[in-house]
Amino acid sequence: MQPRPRPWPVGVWLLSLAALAPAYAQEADSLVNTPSSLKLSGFATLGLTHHHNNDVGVVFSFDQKSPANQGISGNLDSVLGLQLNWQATESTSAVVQAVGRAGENMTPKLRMGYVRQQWGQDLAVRVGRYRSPLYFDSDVTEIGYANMTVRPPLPVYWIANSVITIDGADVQWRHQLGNAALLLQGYAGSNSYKIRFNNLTPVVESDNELTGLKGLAASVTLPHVTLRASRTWVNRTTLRSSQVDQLNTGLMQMAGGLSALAATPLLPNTLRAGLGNQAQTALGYINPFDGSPIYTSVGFNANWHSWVVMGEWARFNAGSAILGNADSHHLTIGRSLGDFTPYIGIARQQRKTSALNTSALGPTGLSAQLDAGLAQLQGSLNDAALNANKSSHSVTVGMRWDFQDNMALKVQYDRIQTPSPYHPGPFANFRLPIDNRVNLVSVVLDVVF
Amino acid sequence: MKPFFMALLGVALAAPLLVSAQNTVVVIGNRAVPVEKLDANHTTQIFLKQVQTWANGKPIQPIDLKEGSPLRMEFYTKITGRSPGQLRAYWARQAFTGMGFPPREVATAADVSKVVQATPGAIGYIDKKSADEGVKILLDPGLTP
Repeated sequence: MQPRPRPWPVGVWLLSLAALAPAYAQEADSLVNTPSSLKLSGFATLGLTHHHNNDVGVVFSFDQKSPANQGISGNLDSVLGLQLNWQATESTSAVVQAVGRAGENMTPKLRMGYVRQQWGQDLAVRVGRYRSPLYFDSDVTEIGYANMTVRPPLPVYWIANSVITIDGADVQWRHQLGNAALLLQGYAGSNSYKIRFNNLTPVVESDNELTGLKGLAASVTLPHVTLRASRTWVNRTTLRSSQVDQLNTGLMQMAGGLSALAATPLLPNTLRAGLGNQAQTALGYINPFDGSPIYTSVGFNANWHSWVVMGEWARFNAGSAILGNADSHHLTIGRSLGDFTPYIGIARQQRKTSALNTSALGPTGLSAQLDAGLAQLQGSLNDAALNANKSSHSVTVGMRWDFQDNMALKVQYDRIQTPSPYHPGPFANFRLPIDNRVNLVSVVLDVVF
Repeated sequence: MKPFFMALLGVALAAPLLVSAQNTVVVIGNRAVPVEKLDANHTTQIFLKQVQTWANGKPIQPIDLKEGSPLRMEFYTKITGRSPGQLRAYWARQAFTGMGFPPREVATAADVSKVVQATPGAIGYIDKKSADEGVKILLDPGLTP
C-alpha cells in the first residue's frame, strides 16, 4: 500500500508564505507573463452559503470534514490557493501549488508539485503531482474565478472532486489540424483520499487508495467551441476503515458458521449445497467497496458572441456491486452583458445499476444465533448500499459580475434534490428519512492574484 | 426642448467618430513570420496559445498589451469575441492547472511594435496608424467584409 500524502503542517504553510512574500512583492500581477524565472500567484474564494435544511449538509467532495450545514456557512466554497512557478530553463519548469479549504479547516494540501519538461513546441511531460483531468472541469473545480458559475455542478462533480490530484506523470501533445487545435493528454499515477461516512455516529473516516490509474484525454479547440473526451481506468481501489474491518470479520464468521452447517451430515444434500453456496456468497461481500472503476467524460464549452454554453456527460463505472454505475450530465448556458453574466443550468446523476442484492444473507431457519448475525450483516450492507447511491439532480440560476480586474462576485441559487427521503445521495449529516431537497443560496467573491 | 435636440445632434455627430475610434486595431507580425494574412479565428487561437507554432514549425511569440489598455479591450472584443472577464477566467484556468500562461505583456503599443520587430515569430496588435514598414499587417479588421 502506498503511503497516503499528508497535508503540510500549518507551520510549514506559514513559513512558505513568509518565504514567498518577497517574490510576490516583485511579481504582484500573476497573469503578466514577464520573463522572470520565479513567480508567485494565487487564487482565493470567499464564499458563503445558506440553506434551511436541518437534515443534511452540502459537501464539495467525499473527504470534506465540515459540511455546509443549515444556516450560513463558509465551508463549501471558501478556498485559498498559492502557486509558485520556477522557470529553470527555457524548456524546464517546476510548479508548486498548495490549497487550503475552509471545509477542511484551511489545512494546506499540495495540489500540484511537478517538474515540467518541454520538447519543442508540441510535447511536454510533467512528473510529480498534478490536478486530475478526470472530467472536463476537474482540474479547475476549486478555482472559482476560472468557472463561470460558483462551482461545477455538484451532481456531476461530487465523485470526481474527490480524486482531485494524481501522483505520477502526464504527457501533453499539441497539434494543429487546419482550424482545430488538438491537445492529447495521457496520464498515469495514483491517488488517495478519505471518505467520510457521515451517516455513522461518530463519523467514520476511511482511507481510499486508487492505484494503477491511467487515462487519456483528447480535446479539440475550434474557433468557437472546445470539445473534450476522456477515459480513466483505475486498476484497483481499496477502501479501508474500522467499519469495513468489522464488516469483513462478521462476514467471515457468518461464512464459517454457514460452512459448518453445510458440513452437517444429518441435513439433506440440497440444503447442504445451498448453505455452502451461501457461505461463498457471504465471502464475496468482503471489502465490498473495492473495485476497478472507470471514469468516462464527454463535454464541450462553446463561446459564440456573448453566449457561453457548457455541457458534459459522464459515466462512473465503479467496478463494485455496492457502488454500482452512475451516469451524470449537465448543461449550463450563460450570456455576457458587459461585466455581468447571468447563467442557468441543470445537472443530474442517476445510478444505472440495481442496488446490491444481499438476499444470500437471508435467514437459514436452522440457527437463531446465526440468523441474527446474518440479519445484522444484511442490514449493514443494505445501509451501505443505500448510502452508496449518489443519485441527485439540481437546477442552478446565477449571476457573475466581473466588477474589478481579477475579481468576480457571484450570486447563485441551487435547488439540489435526491430521488426520495430515503435516498441520502451525496449529502452529508443525514439521518434517514431526510428532507431530500436543499435550496442553496451562495454569494462568493473570487479573486486571482 | 432645445438642449435635447442639441444633445441629439451631438450624439449623431459623434457617432461616426466613435465608430472610427473602434476601427483602429490591426494585428502585426514580425517580417519573418511565414504568413501574409491571418483570419480572426486563427489570431484568437494564437493569443489564447491554443496554437503555438507557425506552419514552418517555428514558435509563435504573441505579445499582449497590459490589462486596462483600450486597445487591448478593442482587440479582444473585436477579434476574439471574448469579454475581459471571460479572458481572465480562461487564463486563470490555464495558469492554475499548469496548462499554460498568458502571452508576454508590454506596456504600450510602441513597445509591442518594437518587440514584434525584434523577435522572430512574434505577433502583436497596435493602432493602425502606428504601423510602419518594420512589421507586417496580418489582419486589419477594418478591411474585413
